[in-house]
Order: sequence, then C-alpha cells, then structure tokens
Amino acid sequence: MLCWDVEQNELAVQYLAGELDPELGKDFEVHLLECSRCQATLQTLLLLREDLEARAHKIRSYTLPSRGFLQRGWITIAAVAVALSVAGFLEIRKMHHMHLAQTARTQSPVSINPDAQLIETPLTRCKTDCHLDMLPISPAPKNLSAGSSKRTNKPDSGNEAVAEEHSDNHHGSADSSPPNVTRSLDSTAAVPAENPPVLVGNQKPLKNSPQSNLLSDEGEKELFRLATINAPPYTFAGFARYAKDTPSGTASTGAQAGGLTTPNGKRPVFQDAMLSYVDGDYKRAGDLLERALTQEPPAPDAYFYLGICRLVEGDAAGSISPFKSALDFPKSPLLQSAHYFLAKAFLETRDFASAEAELEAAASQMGEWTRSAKDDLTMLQAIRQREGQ
Amino acid sequence: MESEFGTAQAGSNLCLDLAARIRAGDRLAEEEFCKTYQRGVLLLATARTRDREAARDLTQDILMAALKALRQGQLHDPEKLGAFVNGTARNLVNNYLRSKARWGESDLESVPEPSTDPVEDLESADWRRRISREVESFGPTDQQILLLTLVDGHTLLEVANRLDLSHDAVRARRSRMIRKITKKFARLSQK
Repeated sequence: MLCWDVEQNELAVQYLAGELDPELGKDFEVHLLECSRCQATLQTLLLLREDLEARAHKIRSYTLPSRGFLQRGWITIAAVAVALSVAGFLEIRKMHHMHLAQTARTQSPVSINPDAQLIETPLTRCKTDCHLDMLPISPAPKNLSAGSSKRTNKPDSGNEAVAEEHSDNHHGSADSSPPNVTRSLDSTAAVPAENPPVLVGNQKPLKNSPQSNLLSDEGEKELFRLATINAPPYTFAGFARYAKDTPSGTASTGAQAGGLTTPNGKRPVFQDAMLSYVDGDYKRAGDLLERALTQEPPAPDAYFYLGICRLVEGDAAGSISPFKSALDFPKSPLLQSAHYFLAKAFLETRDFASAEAELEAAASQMGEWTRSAKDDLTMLQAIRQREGQ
Repeated sequence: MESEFGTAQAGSNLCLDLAARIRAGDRLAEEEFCKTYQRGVLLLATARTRDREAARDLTQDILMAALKALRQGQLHDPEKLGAFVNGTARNLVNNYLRSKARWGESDLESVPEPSTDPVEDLESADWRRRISREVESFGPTDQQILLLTLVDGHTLLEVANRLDLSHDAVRARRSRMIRKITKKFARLSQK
C-alpha cells in the first residue's frame, strides 16, 4: 500500500469511520505503522473526531428541515407547476382557436357573403345566440309554417326560422342550441371549399399555397405558437444615428441623401412614425415609415420597423420586403432582429425553408434573439420533420 | 510543533536489521524499535479505543509484548515486522475492548484521569483549538455530516437519508472538509 492510495481513497477517513473491510483495514494499519505521513493524517483526524465529540450536543441541536417538510414542499411545487402547465395549455388552446377563427374570417368568402354572416365564425354564432335570446317567443310566421324542409338561407327568412326553432326549444327540449341553426351552419360551412378564397383588407397572396403546406392540428398549433410575435419595443434614442448607415457601409450625412434636407440631421417623419409605433398605432406608424423612407434617408431601423408594423397588422407577405431591405445594412445593430422577424414573416406565409434559413442566420449571431432563434429553429425543424414538409 | 507521538521512519532493511539485532540482545535496537513504532501503535490504539489514556497504556503493553516475542525469536519472517507489531496490537486492543465491555457495568470509568505530561497537554490543547476553529467555519450540515460519520459511525447512505441529501453529495462534502483539514494540519504534525 502506498500513501497515494491512502490519500486518493481516503482510507484514513474510512478507517476511522469503520467503513474499511477487515483485510484492507489490516493493510492500512501495517502501512500506518511505518509511514509518518499517514500517521500525521490519522492524528489530525483523531483530533477532529475528539473535537466533534466535544461539540456533539451543539451540532445535534442544529435544526435541519425535516424530510416531511421537504416532501410537502416538493408536492406543493409540483402542484403549482401542474396548475401553471394546465393554465398555459388552456391559454394556448384559446389563442389557437382565436387564430383559427381569424384565419377563417380573413380567408373565407362567407365573411363577405351576406347570406352566411350569421353562421361562419364563433363570433357570429355568439351574435346569433344573443339575437335569439332577445327574440320574442311568438308563433311562426305563416309563410314558414310549411316546415323546416321549405326553409331557405335567405337573410330575412333565416332568422325567422331560427326564431321558430328557438321557440320550439323553449317549449320542449332543454338543449339551448337550436338544431336547425346547426344544420344551416353545416350547410353553409361547405361553401368556402367550393368557392375560391377572397382576399380582404390588405391581405396579399401567400407566397406558398396553403394547400401545399397543410399541417396536422398539432402542427398548426405549434406553427401558430412559432409565428406569434410581439412588437419589439422602441426607445427614443439616436434618431439620426442609423440614417448615417448606408447599405454599402460607407458613411453619409443622411441629412442630404435623396436631395432632401432634414433639420439638424434628424428624421421628423421617422420620429413621428415611432411615436405612433410606441402608442400601438401600427397602421399609422407603417404609413409614416413608408413616407419616411421616401422623404428621408433610407435607414435600417425604418425598414425594420416598417416590417414589424406590417407583420403586426397581418400583412406578413408585405413585411418581407422591408425586412430584406433592413438586411442590406451589414453593420446595423438590427441585423439579427431583422433575420428573426423575417423568419416570422416567412412562417406566416408558410415558406418554411426560408423561415428556417432566417432563423439559422439569427441563431448564428450573438444578441437578444439568439436564444429565441435557436428555440424556434429547433421547433420548426421538428415540425417540418414530423409533418414531412 | 512537537507531537505527543514519537517519530516513525522504517523500511524493510531497517526491519530486517532491527529484528536480527533485537534477537541478538541489542538494547539500542530495542530502543530504536520502540521509537519507530510507538507513534503508529499509539494512533492505532487511540483510533480503536477512543480513549487516549487507555491507548497510552496499551501502547506500552503492545511494545513490551512485541519486544518479548522478538527476543524469543517468534518472528519467522523479519520482513513482516510491521505486520507482526500490528497483529500484536490488534490482539491486545481487542482484549482491552472485551474487558472494557465487562467493566462497563461500573460507573468508575466515567471519572476523568489527569494527564501525565502537562507539556503534552498544552500542545494538544493548542492543536485542538485550531481544529475547533476550523470545524466552526463549516456549516451546520457539514458539521452534522462529520459528526454522524466520524463519531457516530453512520454510513454515508444513512447520513444522506437522514439529512435529505444525495449519497454523492454527502461523500463530496465530507471529502472536501477532510481534505481541507488534513492539508492544513497534517503537515504540522508530520515530523
């Protein structure tokens, strides 16, 4: 036996604690008799043991948290974690349903079809129910007395038919949802599949056809989570700073670019736009930013926040161009942000390959979006792999 | 610092020489033998008996018994002098512990006996104060780990269960404390 063995294996401690097996204990004792170094170690440990014996009463009086308390603590923590998880899941589910309802409203022709206004979305269904609650219970009009088989989806007769069924339910069934309303919902719900989609508002055609990127329900939920954004905050500092950046990287005065003169190198239109942005008026902010980009020197922050405004306003396809323009400024501090939110825009337009490329670019840079980009990239790759996209 | 224990420097050649010289009746060899093994034997006896005074008496008995056997040529393999001394020590310590168990029925044992050497007592007291300060610097949990393992003789697993710690955590914490103390004090006690 060597001193090295004694030190590495803490044989002296084990010997003193009675943890050594008899054979090893004998070897250790024989070594100890002839080794002054190990004798010194054991002597120190003996003194330590004596000291501990002397203060044993005090040490034993230290109160440590009991096992039961710890177990109860863990149970409490686990219960809170489960409760939070359930609450989070319900919230996400709710958001998903809202997103689906919004998508249905914006993509379905029924939303502009006066014949189907009452039946397409949960919102209109709610309106229908509320309307029914307010209707007086009265006998059915004579022209509808022939029965439900003669009912049509005409706007003026539909409500009356619904009212009739509602009054029937009040007299008979306890079910609050009129069966004929459901039937009429089903009959008109098939309309969007037969008619081409109608674009409303400022919605632009999607880059990729949704039909080619159909996902499962779970995939849709995850994609919804991925594509959801919060407008990044803006702090008012250095309005003229980014205006000095040019795509080529050479400095310009910014104040004279495009033949325009801005007082003291400031950008009043941009400043006005960002005031609206901070107030949450993204539509006005977007309009002003577009104007700023024509009247003031082009700057990466103007392009970037224009993209954000369009993205927040639901114009994902329209936000791609300004984001790409923001990426033309290699020295811009918004470079990573532009990559990240461009990825979000691509996700909205279901251009998954481009979104993945942009997320990779954002994840490869150090900054505030690195972690988020990595997480989103992992999730997107998992979705694409699972859905075969 | 002077230690209450003697010095110990021994090798196989020394063992061979010592055994032969003692058998030949060399008084100096007997004195050298006592110096060589006294400290180690005292430590072993102290560790086993947990009684410093009894260990001191036992050390004398062990060395005397070993010398007597060496004089009579009872050591057949001189290279195993250390093992021979250790075997003698184990036998006598075991006898002591057995007899102590019988004496345990009497209350007289609890009466402390005065130390025989005041200088030795002062040195030991100083050393203990240093170690005591070091122990006080440890946290309550660490002190309990040391107490439960070194004094109470609990296994690491038992200590881990009792303190709601993992086995590895208890082992690591004890190891860290022991290393700190031995590194600091063992060098002082080494001659």
